[in-house]
Amino acid sequence: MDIVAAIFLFGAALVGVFALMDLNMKGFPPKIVTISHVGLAVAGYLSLVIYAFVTEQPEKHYHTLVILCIAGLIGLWLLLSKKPKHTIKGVAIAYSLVGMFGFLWLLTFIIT
Amino acid sequence: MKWTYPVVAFFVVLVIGFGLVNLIKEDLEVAPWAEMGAEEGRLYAHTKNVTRLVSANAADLHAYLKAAIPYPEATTADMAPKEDNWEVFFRQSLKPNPAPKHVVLVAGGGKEALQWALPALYYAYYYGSPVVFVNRSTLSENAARYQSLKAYLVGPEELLPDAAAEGFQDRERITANTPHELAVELAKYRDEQTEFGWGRTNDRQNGYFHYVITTPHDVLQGLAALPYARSNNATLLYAEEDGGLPGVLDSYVWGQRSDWFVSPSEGPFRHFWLVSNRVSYAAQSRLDFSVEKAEYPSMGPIALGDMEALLLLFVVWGVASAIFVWVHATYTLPMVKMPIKIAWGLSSLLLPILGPVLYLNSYRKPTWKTEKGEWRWLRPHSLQSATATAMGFGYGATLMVAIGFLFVWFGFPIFFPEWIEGPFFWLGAGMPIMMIAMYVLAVLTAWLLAQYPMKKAMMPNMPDKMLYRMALITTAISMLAVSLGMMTGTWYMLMSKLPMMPKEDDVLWFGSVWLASFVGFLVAWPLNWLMIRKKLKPGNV
Repeated sequence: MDIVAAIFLFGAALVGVFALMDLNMKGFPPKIVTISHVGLAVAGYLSLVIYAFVTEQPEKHYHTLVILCIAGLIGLWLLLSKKPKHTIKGVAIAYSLVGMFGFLWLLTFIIT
Repeated sequence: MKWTYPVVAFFVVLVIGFGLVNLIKEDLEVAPWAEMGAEEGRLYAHTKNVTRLVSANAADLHAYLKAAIPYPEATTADMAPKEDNWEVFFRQSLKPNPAPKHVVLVAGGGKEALQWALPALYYAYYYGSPVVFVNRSTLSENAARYQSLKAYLVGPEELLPDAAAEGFQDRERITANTPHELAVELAKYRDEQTEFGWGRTNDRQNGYFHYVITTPHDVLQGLAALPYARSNNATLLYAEEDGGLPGVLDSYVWGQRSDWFVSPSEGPFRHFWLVSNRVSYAAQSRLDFSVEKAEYPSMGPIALGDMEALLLLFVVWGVASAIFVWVHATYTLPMVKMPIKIAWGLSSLLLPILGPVLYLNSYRKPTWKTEKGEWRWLRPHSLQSATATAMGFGYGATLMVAIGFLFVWFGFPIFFPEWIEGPFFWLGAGMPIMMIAMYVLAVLTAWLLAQYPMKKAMMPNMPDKMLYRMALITTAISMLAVSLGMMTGTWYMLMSKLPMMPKEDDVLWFGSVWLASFVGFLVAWPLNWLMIRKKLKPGNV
């Protein structure tokens, strides 16, 4: 299940890169990109939560859940905020750094 | 084709980012405060720097050491040490120095006095120092003989009043809050004039130091192990009663870790002798690990070597530079095309400080708009060359690092069929294969996914075939120049400068390729100067 989560989060990260490019260049990303990113990220996070409940392995990825939760809160702020674009840009970069770190942290447990 | 640049950037960030995060995780797992990982692993292995002497009591240990250390210089009294005879035991064991330069004053009496006195007794036994026992302000009968010497009062004033040292030529008190702290204090203390103290500080460059470790409760076992003070020049240190290591001891022993330059067989070595059964196996393992020798550049998996620290700073500055360039470009340069921004960001990742400096200089120049409405910057020739280098280097060099990391992660391939035997056998070795693969795969990826689309966007009217060829030639030549510096630098660092080939979770691997990439950029820069001159590459985008 944690592998499934990693696959979802990989997709979310890849789509997120395109959203970041849009923010960098012309403005806000198209809605379809945002929805895909949010959908994949939520699916990945939920998969990881389910894994933590059902697994008998000692590693339940609590660290990753915390890191991704922080990223998720920043992401939620981005979705709901009505702040000007220049604020959104900066927060989006911070969001991408935290989210990417969380995803890579998870990978270090799954791949190694 | 706009999707290709973010995909290349994503691949690079994913692979290199994974490597760096894995590095953080591995280092956290073996960090001394993590209480997990390294020391548990070592528990199941031998502890070559620690020897545990298991004994039923002090008499048992005393009898064993009589046989195990038969040297006349290290013999102790025939009777076993006990709580009521430890002063006599020591006096009978001591081999006095015929010309001492100091006298040691310690409290005599019960077990508590012995706990405070034992670290000093170890040095006294090693040196042959005259020892005066102070029992309720009464000095032992030998005191008058040493009045002309400097007296060292070792222990707290409650047990050893200042008045006891009156009449001696000079006096100095060495004490601490606990016997554990006092033992460490004495291990570090040294007065060259009076020749008192072990002087085993963490900045000593030499010395095969040995240590006997007991607990205050098992202080008699510590006294029974006195022969080690002479046969092995051992200093006495105290562990906690619960078997753990007190903070002061933990800090001290980690500072005793030594390193080697060429081979691990070089000295000096440190060794611990545990004589108390109370000292836990976790503490034993930790002690063993704390003084495990490591190569100088890395100081092993649990410490940070000088070169590691420098290269780590280099990598961290690179990451910070890339983030700075990306944030800056996001806010201030909406007119610069995305592939170029990505190239600057990725270049800055491998060019700490230099990347942002070149980037800022490149865009703080007068601009104009082409007929098609595209922005251009008026730059001097050298800066145009730097921009052109960054366009290729950003994608190419980071791809090479990412591909190199995958090779190290999955293991170096080797290729030794019969036909390769002869002068070219080295082509089948791991390092050359990795270098060739890094170059070829990076050129192919950068050519198809970054350089061709970039050229296509800049020269839409040029036939596709010519564009492909032109992109391939410029990418291959530019990357060849980068490789010249990068591969030579990598070879020098990995094969020559570092005594051991670093693995994928070593700071030194990342640091080495980072540094080599920097060199690669400096080599490719002049070549791009020529390419700008021949108008093969644009330098004002």
